[in-house]
Amino acid sequence: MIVEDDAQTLDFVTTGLIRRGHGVDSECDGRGGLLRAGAGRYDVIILDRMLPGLDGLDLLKALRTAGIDTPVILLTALGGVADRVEGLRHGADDYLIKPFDLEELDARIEAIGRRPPTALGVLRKDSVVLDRLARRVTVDGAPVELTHSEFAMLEMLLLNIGRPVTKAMMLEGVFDLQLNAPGPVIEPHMSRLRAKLTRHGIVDPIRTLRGVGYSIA
Amino acid sequence: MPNRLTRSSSVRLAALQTLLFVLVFVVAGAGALVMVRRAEYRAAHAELDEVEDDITDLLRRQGLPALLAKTSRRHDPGRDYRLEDAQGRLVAGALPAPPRPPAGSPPKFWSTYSVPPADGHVGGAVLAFTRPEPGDLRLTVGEYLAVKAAQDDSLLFGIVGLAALVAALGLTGGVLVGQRVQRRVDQIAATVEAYANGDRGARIPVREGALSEHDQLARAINNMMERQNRLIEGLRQVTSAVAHDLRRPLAHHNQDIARALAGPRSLPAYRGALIAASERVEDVLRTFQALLHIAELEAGAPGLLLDPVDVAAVAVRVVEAYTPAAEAGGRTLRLTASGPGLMVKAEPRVLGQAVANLVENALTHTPRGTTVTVAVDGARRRLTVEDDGPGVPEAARGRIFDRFFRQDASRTTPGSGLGLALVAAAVQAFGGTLVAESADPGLRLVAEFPGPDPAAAG
Repeated sequence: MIVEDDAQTLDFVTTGLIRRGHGVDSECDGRGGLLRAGAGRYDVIILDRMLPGLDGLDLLKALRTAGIDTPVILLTALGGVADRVEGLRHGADDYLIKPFDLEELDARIEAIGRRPPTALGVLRKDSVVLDRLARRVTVDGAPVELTHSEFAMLEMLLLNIGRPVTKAMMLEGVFDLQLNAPGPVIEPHMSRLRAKLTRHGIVDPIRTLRGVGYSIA
Repeated sequence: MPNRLTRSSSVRLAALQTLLFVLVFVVAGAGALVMVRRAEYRAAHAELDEVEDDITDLLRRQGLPALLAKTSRRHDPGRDYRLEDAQGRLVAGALPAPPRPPAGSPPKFWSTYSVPPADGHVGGAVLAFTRPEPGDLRLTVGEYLAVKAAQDDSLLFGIVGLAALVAALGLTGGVLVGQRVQRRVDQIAATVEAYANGDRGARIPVREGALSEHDQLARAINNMMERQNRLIEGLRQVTSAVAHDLRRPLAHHNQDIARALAGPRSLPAYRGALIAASERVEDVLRTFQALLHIAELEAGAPGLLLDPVDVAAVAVRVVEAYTPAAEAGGRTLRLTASGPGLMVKAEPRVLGQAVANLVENALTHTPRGTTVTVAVDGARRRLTVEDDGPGVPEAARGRIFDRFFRQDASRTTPGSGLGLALVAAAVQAFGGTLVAESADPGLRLVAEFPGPDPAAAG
């Protein structure tokens, strides 16, 4: 479900998400959003920070107080540093700064809405095996030396098999950094990771999604 | 002017003070007068008691003739005697007769009565005792209370005069001070008004080291106006920068669209043009976002929750993130740390972005082969990012933190010109200072943070 008061953004996001195969309910004010969120079962709620009727943060607080723990992605205005911090403190699971790419939103919906129930100890895709506890990666049984960040990037991809992981998500997840342009930072890491994996004669398991990020299918 | 003077609060205060002073003085004076009168009466009574003792003594030793001789002369301007026979006829002395005592009074009695001025005497109230003497005579000795009172009154008048003088002086002083204060306030008001009307250089004159409340006020107002000027200047800078720097990408944007429309009508070409156009607009939006972010930080980011952040840990993450990019560009990125851990109250993400921007700036604006060193110095509470590239000329060094500032040489390299402005705003928001120095030959950017609050440490 999406709660957003700007009609154009609402329409853009709703149609975009439907085209990507999501079922979307929409509300344009806070009160309606709260009623719907309380009644229906949603995988993810996308919530604008600034809403008429009931503020996004208040809505979020109300939901959490009522024991509704549906994952929430908060949409904040340009800049809103304070909003972001407050949003996370009030139980938002993720946030995006407007304006955002639909791909970025979609990737985060996928990541949050289908978060694996429990993080498994060993992740694998074909011959690539990642042991989270031993922090070891093997390809066809042969150990691959990865840096801490390369390991973390591969881990993110393997936790989200079949779903895109954006460069911004990687920058946040691996380095705890937020930058306007994450591409130039992430890309060299990714090419090193790929080189190390393919050195063992396998086909590169990581797909580049142009303008979005990466995924392991 | 009198109108303004009566409105002046210090003149009013002085007048009120003077009035209160006079009032208190009058009440105290009246009280003192009553007490003085009582004391005079008691003193007169005591003196008469002494005189009586003297007369008893005189009679015992020298007899009636001595008394006669004593009473017929005036020894003291404040005292008179009267010796009369049984019929009340004056035998000796000058004191007028006291009123007849009521019947049945004891042979000796006290009386207070008034006598008219006569014989060079002031007259007035008299306190007297009358007692029988041998030979069927009666002696009355009276003290002129008015004589004593006159002496005391002159003292009182002196005091009242003094009080009047003090009151006059107080009032004059109040008016003078009031005029002075009024002038100073007028000066301040005129300056503020001039500033409000657009004179950005207007300043209230303040004497060096002067500590009066007006000087303090003047200084505070001057500081406020200076800060206001800096903000206005910043705003002006941003406005013109926005006009210039955002016009360029938007103009290119429009050109691209025009070119696509003029070109062959093919879907792939249109599609390509749309993608390019969308990217350009995204650039512009990112620039706006950075501008707002800077503005927010400069405003102190109300509501920003600051927690102690380990700067070295942030530097480690940033260096780790940028090392592959640096190596791909043929540069070396190093990290050094010395001294104790450097904890700074900050918002971790913003601090991370600031450090990242410093590193990115160094990597972007230096030639291949440059070494960029990130150093965390816990002892001096400093974070430095230094390169051994060609550096920045001194004239430009002071301006590299301005929004949209770009050296001519770097006009072609990517970047918005906002990276360092954001760093400066962030460091300032976290209470630190950011300066650019020459690293001979490279550029060294130093962020220095104030020490932790001693009360909060531990």
